[in-house]
Amino acid sequence: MSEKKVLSKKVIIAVIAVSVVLVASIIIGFCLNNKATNNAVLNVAENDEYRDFEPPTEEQLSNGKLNICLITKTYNNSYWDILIQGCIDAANDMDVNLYTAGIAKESNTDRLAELMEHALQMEPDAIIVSPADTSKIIDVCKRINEKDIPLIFIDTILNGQQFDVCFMTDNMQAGRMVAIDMVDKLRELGYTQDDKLSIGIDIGTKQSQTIIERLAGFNEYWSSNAPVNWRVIDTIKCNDGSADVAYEQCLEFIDKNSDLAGLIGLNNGSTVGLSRGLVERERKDIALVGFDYSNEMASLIEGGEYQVSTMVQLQYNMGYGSVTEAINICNGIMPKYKFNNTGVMKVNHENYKNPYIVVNALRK
Amino acid sequence: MKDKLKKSFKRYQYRWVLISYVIVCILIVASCFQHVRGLVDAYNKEQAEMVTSLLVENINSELNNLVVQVERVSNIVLLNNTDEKSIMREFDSYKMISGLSAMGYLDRKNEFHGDSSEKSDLVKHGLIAQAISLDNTFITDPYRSSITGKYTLTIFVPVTDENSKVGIVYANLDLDEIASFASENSIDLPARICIINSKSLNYIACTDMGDVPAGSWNSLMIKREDFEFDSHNGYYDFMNGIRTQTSGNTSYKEANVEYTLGYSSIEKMPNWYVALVLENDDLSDTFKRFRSILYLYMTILFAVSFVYAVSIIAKEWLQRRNFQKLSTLDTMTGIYNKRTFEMYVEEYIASNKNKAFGTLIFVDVDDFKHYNDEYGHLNGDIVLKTFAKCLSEQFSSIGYVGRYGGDEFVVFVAGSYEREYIDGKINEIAKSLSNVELEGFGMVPTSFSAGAATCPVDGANYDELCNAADEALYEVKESGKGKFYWHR
Repeated sequence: MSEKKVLSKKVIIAVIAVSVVLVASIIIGFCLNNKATNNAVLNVAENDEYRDFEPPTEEQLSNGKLNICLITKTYNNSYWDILIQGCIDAANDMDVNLYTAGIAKESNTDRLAELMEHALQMEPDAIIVSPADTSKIIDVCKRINEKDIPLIFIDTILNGQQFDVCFMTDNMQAGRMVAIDMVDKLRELGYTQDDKLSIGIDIGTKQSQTIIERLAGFNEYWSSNAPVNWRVIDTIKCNDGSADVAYEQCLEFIDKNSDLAGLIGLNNGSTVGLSRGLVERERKDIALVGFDYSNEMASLIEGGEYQVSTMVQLQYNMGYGSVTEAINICNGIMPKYKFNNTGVMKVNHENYKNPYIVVNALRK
Repeated sequence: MKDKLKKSFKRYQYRWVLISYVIVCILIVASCFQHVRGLVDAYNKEQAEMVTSLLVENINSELNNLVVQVERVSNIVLLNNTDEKSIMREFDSYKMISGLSAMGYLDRKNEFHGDSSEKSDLVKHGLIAQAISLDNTFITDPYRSSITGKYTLTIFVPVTDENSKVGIVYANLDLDEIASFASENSIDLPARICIINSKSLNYIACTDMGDVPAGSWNSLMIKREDFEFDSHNGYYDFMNGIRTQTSGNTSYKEANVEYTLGYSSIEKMPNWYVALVLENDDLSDTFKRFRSILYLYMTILFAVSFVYAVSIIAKEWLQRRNFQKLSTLDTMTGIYNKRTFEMYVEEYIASNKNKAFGTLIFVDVDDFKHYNDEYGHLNGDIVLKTFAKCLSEQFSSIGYVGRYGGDEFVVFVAGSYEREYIDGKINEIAKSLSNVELEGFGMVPTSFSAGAATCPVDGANYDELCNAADEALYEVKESGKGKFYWHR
């Protein structure tokens, strides 16, 4: 009897021990698996900050085509998608190898410099880059020059001389166009030079040279050509990149300025916010001139009830032109112009269906 | 509460003195620093206004001189040459030495002679039409050159012969050349140079201007929020200045740094001003040097004073501790003197009120006089010290041990202990003190008589306890000494 008891005790202990081991294994396995998953998630998150060049395929290495590296300061938005598509189309049309890389956020300038270093190590025939923080990349630009690799800038210019050619919008000119259009709109609305009115300006950030140049261009034209009684509201609203804030600022402009006749949005986010504000208050008597062709602006332009127009950049041409010019330089044809203004197109109710506008500006 | 505070203050008064001294020192240094800072700031501002005005006028003069030279060269070349090649050759030679980036001309028929890319730029910006319409030399607004990518100004010079126009010369000047005028004027200071348009309030940097790189635009409409002017209307006064005066200056603060901006209108460029910004502190390192010396001096003074004050306090603290020792301890044996012992026991009884339990024991060295007579006073002292040490070892952790007088000791055991426990301790002491080593005499037998009384049974206060213990001790002595009795 006691032997049986001892035996059963041993069996019970054995069963318990095995169960504990099994459970422990499951728990440890689960934790390890999670850790692996977390590591995987971490790796993916890291790579979401930038895209490095994919290694050339065997075909690319052996096809004898020109090799061009493209590095952009952002991606994953419609503006850059179109620009990059322009590069890809040019590469396909002209039969060259195109390698793309980029950073997700413009502020990640250290990574941008690293990607340029990587491009330099690949020893391509040309490098196309949209520089973010110019001070961080001056050194690598100099080394690219020293290796006689053509260096092309797109969308943004480096104020030093370390590039061969630049394709970008002349934002001063774009700003002037906005001013011209606003003056025209106000006249269409029936305002004369003796009428007192005010214009509000909304911007996304004070740090962007693009926006500052647009503002400078606007002010340059407005100060010399608009009637003296048509004043720009002293305080320029800055929405820090938020369309929602721009919307609130629009309502503030309307509520605090009884003589408000026009609104200017100098970048996409500002324009979106201002357009929403106008619709909210149903102010069809206030003219709006902005930038880019957001859904909100498309709706207002196509609807035709509001006095709106927008300036659309031709970033596809930037991309296409930069690759074309890179190939020319590689073939010994030096660019005639170092600075190429790809310009903007004005889109309004009158021309939004124009095939030229549709194809070139709206990329539909 | 007040008494406690007073006691606390008295006890820590040196610390308060030291703290007050430190605070006063800091306040004096800070106010001295502020006062000197104010003086130097005012001096720097005055200097900055003078210097910026002078320098900006110099830069403007250089620019005007260049324009005058271009006018002279244009007149000489166009009036003395008719052949395009020789004209362009002369212009090329002049370009090399003058810092201009391009030169060319329109002839009588307004036909362009020069680089076609340059023409493209001039046409694109409407400058040729503007030049043809004007009769005087003028400088264009800055524009970005398609050829170089840099911002450029173009000087247009109409050349006339008697009453007829011979042609219009154009000369391009890169904006960063204006910055080089500053270095030619031997400005050995980190100057920021820009040109400002008084109508649009745009400005473009000729040199790096902190957050505005060279060749970049910015607007005073935006920057005004970053500027703190001296007066409430400072910004508007500045605006009025650049719209109505030919030159002037203003001071402002940006990111807590004081700057002075001097401006001067550019003669052939309507509504444009060349501006130079200097950081006020850069003008003199007087304050920087003074500040370093002041810091060093005050640090040394403060450190020396602090060390001296601390040493005085430490010395007095040590003295006080010694006095305290002298007033509470028996100098020979190192145990409590009678007064201190009495005070502690009374405090104990008072603080415990009805729950004060304790045992008071008188310990008397038997025939102490004999030790002094037989072995000398020094050995007599040794006996007393040995007794005190032994009693202390046994009882100081559970009570108080004191010297009652002469050869008499007193012990108070605080708390309720079994008699057997105390009996045991007394027996231990008796064993330890059965012999004491004396100098020159070796081990000498000793003994003591002890009488004990308990609180609250034998006495509820110190005096009653002493009487009771004394009675017990008397009994011991009457019965032959060398024993330990409890009060009955």
